[in-house]
Amino acid sequence: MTIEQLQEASDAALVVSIGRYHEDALAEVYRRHAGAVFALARRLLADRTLAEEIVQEVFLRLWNDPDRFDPDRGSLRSYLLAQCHGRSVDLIRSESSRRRREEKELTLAAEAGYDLEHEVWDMAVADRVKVTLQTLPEGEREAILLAYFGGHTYREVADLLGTPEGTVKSRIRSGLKKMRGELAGIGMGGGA
Amino acid sequence: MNEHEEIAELLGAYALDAVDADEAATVEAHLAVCPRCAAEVAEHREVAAMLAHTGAPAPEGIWTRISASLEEAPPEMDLPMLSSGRSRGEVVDLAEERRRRAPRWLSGAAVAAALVVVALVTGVVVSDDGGGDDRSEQFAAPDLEDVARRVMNDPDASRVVLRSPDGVLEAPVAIDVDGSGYLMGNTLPALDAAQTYQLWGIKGDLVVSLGVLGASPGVVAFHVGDGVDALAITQEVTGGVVSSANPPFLVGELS
Repeated sequence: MTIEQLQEASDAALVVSIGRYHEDALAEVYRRHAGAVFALARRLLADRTLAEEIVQEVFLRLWNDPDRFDPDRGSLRSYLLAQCHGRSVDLIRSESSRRRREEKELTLAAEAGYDLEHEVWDMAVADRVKVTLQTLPEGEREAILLAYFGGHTYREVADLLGTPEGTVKSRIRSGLKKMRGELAGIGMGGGA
Repeated sequence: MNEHEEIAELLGAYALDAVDADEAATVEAHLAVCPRCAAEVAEHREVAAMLAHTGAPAPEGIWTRISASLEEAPPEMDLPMLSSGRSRGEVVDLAEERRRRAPRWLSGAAVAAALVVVALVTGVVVSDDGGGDDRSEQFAAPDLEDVARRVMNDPDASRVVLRSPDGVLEAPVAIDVDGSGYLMGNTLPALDAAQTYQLWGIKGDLVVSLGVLGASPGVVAFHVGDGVDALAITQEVTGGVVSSANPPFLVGELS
């Protein structure tokens, strides 16, 4: 493919090319999505070196196993970010990190939600997404941010917020559903 | 609340990786049989992707490393040889090998799972899998077992027996002069559906994935470039992994 063809190709077409060992296609996917993948890993791990390793792993996995991406199930970006998030969270929950985090959380628990909310604004989140997030009830917004950007389980979020586990579980789901509805309404709900 | 509703309540948290491992396993089992819940998870992940959206440019330095890794991919493997001086047939402790190679920031035992080794699938065909995609058709052969048997008996081919550390399990491998390898995996016990065997080539400091073999491999064809000194098989989650933190299930050094 020429550079122009690569730039115009859909994400799904690029993944097909990756399946045929076209490195240029992987490079184009990287150009499109690696910034977001890196930012998410760095936000979760607070460590540039670890975040770089996660990015490398996510894109090598796409190269090794492109068939795992199913374009019928969602966009390539959400697939790559989900891989990045899952891998980062695995690291966060590893034994040694967990011990460090638990010590840290003892002192930060009371203000964790507040800090996270401010930090997420510092990221270049799309304005519309910010607005949509802002429209959620506070409990839903906090639960989603602590789970997604804090890498916490819903049980940990429940402890941090002093809210029953079942309530947190429901709030995460209902908040995501509301955001989906809002974003779909303005044409941002998904797709490649 | 019935089981479906109970699991459905977890879908938001699951999509954000905010459930415990046992809950994740329960949800995944349900998603495999419930398209509606699978679609809901996909939708939640789209929203999460929007949350994570940034206009940040792709970091250049990392691409350079990824690209360099791709260039190291078989069949043009041109990597350092094993320098350990191990004798043929000696069991290689892959976990120990990885610990030795781990950079300083990976000193924590659990974090060591993040060790990035270059892992590039070069193509693999399992005897009970017809294959057909671009990655496998070059090796596809209807009479894989016959070909494997011929190579096993070819005096010019290299042979090695992969063995479990306790010596109980064995799986013979033959590698033709052109690098076509054949693993007689019939002796390997079948794994459950959530697991797979994965074949690795060891070359100097690199552990390279040679293929995801499935839960019940049978005869497997794969390809190795020059300079691969040892082969190992690990047990991984279905789909395989880029780098393994698991000890080798079977291992053997090539001559």
